Amino acid sequence: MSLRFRYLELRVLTDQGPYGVTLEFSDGLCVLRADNGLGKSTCIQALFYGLGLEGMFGPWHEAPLPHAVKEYLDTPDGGKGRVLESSVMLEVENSAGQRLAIRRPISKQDGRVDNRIVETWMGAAFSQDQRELEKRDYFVRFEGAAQRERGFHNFLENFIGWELPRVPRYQQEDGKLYLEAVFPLMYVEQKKGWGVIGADFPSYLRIQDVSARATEFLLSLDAYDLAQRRNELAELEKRLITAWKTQVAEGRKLAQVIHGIVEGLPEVPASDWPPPVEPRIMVPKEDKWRSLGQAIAGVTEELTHLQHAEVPEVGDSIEEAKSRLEEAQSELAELETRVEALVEDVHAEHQELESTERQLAVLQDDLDRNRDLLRLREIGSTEPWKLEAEVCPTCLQDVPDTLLPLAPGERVLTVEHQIEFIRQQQEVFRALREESGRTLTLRRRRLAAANQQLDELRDEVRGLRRTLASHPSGPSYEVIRRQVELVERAGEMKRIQLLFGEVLNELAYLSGQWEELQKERAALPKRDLSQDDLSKLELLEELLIRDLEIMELRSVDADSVHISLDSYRPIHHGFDLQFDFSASDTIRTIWAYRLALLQLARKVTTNHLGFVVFDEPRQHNTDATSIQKFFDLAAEAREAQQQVIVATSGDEELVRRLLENLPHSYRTFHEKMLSPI
Amino acid sequence: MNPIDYGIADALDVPFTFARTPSPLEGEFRPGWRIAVLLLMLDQSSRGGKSSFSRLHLFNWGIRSEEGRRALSAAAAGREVRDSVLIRYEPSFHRAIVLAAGLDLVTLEGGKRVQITDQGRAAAKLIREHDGILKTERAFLDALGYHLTEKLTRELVWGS
Repeated sequence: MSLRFRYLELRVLTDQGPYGVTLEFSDGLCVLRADNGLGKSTCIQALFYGLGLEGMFGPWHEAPLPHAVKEYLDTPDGGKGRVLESSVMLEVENSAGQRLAIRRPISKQDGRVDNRIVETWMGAAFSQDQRELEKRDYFVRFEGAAQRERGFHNFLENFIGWELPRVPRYQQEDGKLYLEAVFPLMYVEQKKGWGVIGADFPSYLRIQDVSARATEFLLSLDAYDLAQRRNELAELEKRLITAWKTQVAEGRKLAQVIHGIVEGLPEVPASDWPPPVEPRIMVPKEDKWRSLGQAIAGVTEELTHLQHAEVPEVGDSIEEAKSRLEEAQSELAELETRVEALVEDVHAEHQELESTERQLAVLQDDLDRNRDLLRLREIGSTEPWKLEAEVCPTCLQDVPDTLLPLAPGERVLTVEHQIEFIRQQQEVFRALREESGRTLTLRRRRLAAANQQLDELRDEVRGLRRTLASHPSGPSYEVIRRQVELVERAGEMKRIQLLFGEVLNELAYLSGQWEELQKERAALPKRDLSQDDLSKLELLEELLIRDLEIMELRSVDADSVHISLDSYRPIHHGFDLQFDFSASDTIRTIWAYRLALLQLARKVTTNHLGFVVFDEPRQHNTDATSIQKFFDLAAEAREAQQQVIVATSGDEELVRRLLENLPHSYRTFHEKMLSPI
Repeated sequence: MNPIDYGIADALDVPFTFARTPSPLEGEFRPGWRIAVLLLMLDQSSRGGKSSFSRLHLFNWGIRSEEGRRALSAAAAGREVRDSVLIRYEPSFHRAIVLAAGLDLVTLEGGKRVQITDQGRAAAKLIREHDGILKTERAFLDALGYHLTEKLTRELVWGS
């Protein structure tokens, strides 16, 4: 697996004509020299923008490129050209020697460009103008860009021969280790990149221990397979949870058929089965709930009773039927009142739920607004204008962060705390909503059951009337009707009971699987480096120390620097280096660590892509000897068919002298790199 | 004196101050949010980036709730607006306008009109370049375009 940059072209169409710059990259050390402000870093950033990797720098969807390619560029005659359209064209090569050409738009005057679309060609579409190649479009910076078939990062991952694993994330399901999380190990960015020795990993991806996970992958450590096994178990867990929930839902549906609810069914898989409270269906009986078993027993008993007695003749049961009719009529009136009350209850709870939903919507709006505000602050931070003032521009008094009048001494929460405050309220209201939902279901079931009872009573009243109106020697119509009704009801309840039993069997099986899963998970070692891993890390340490010695580390003995077995970063006496290091030694260590990762890939199998990009390697902070050594080491890349790209604003004479006896390629610019074409 | 009380008072016999807990505040009452929306109203939905105070207040009332947005869209499309819609002037919005003027994002013309400045335009442009910011508000203003005119404002606010 590897990736080499081969060709970069930036094209900017302005109202003053087209502008552009073209760069080619060979294997080995490629040096790009230009004074500050001529567009060097723009080109380096464009390499990664072209790969859709600007997510390395942060979650924003704005192209992290300067105004020269987005709004206006300074023309050679001192004027300004308005940017009408601009794009990056890039060619990269993989270990099979395949070339991939990529074109990605940056900006268009009307702001309507969709820079999430990436056009690709398999071949040298730009450098050798092979435009007849088939073009395929992919999308980047979009939900699913790393997984879906038309996602560019999914495609790029295949192209470079990587297979990115799933990794645990904070507060959400496991997710893929994104490309954006691994590339920082091969790119030292101009500003932030020189502040940390490890690498500046994007934290917004919410990957747990992103630095360790990314480095493990890059070094292809076995610790990784273990993590993989964990991931398989996580997959299994997910499947079991889904299957469990399906069964629970099925159980609920069954209960609903007879206006019942389910009791004692665990919502999530439980390894201990049967659960302490035996799961069962409860059905309403007047004001109380009873189990389905009891209900079936009640119906069966009445039925047996009726079946054992002979069907009475109408004449014999006239008095009984009359008094029962009276009774049934008064029961009916009572029940009707109860149904009315139940309707009220349902209605009230429904309103409660609606008001909770409304409150949640209001909270969501407010959350959105506060988030907008944070983003406004973020994007406006480097602009000359301000949307907020801490001090009144006119009267020079402090301006509080509110449009409402404040009581003396009153302060308002910061936006960050307000967001926290809203989140807490959301939690409360979500719990309320859940509770309301539950209550509503109960009340609805009761209502449905009461309605059914109402129907039955009406049937009975009709049956009794019909009995009273029929011939005295005929059989009692009502007794027969009642028997039929009871047979039907008992049949239905038994059917539900049976099906519910099947659900419980299925859950018992799932519970067994769940228990096994937990056991296997507990048996996995917490974290394990294999023997191979350890020797790999030892080798990395040797390479690092050697490079540090060559570059003449001053603050501590190079020998006393180690590679941490937790973070895989260089440490000294168990601590990250920054604390006791001079600025120049920090720079040396950044050089050495990135180069050591590259050198390691020459000796053992890793997932390193075989390139490193250093943007402005801060040579002013070290001495000429060290930077010479840095270039010496970087130039070894050619023989290993690797690539080290260095963009520098160093003095032209000095850079030439440093490169004198080294294999390298070199481009220098004295004017704006984006020039008229 | 109760000995226990005495103990506490003794222990507290050091200089101390009470800090009042900061009050929560909805996002819509933050100057930054309201000014950003004001700039979008002027930039996106006002001809020449200029508008009367009344019209801005109308926007300000409408843009902040689903109900208000619906009512304004209906009015702009020439449909009758229900009487129940009560349009409010909000002092806090007025404060936001004045603050925006202080920050050179808008200028106030004779106390009647508000005009966006170049600086204000630049801010609005940058906001529009970021898809996720002020989504609802922008979608609403986009759909409204210039249809909510000064004339319509007078009809809605003054009924003439």
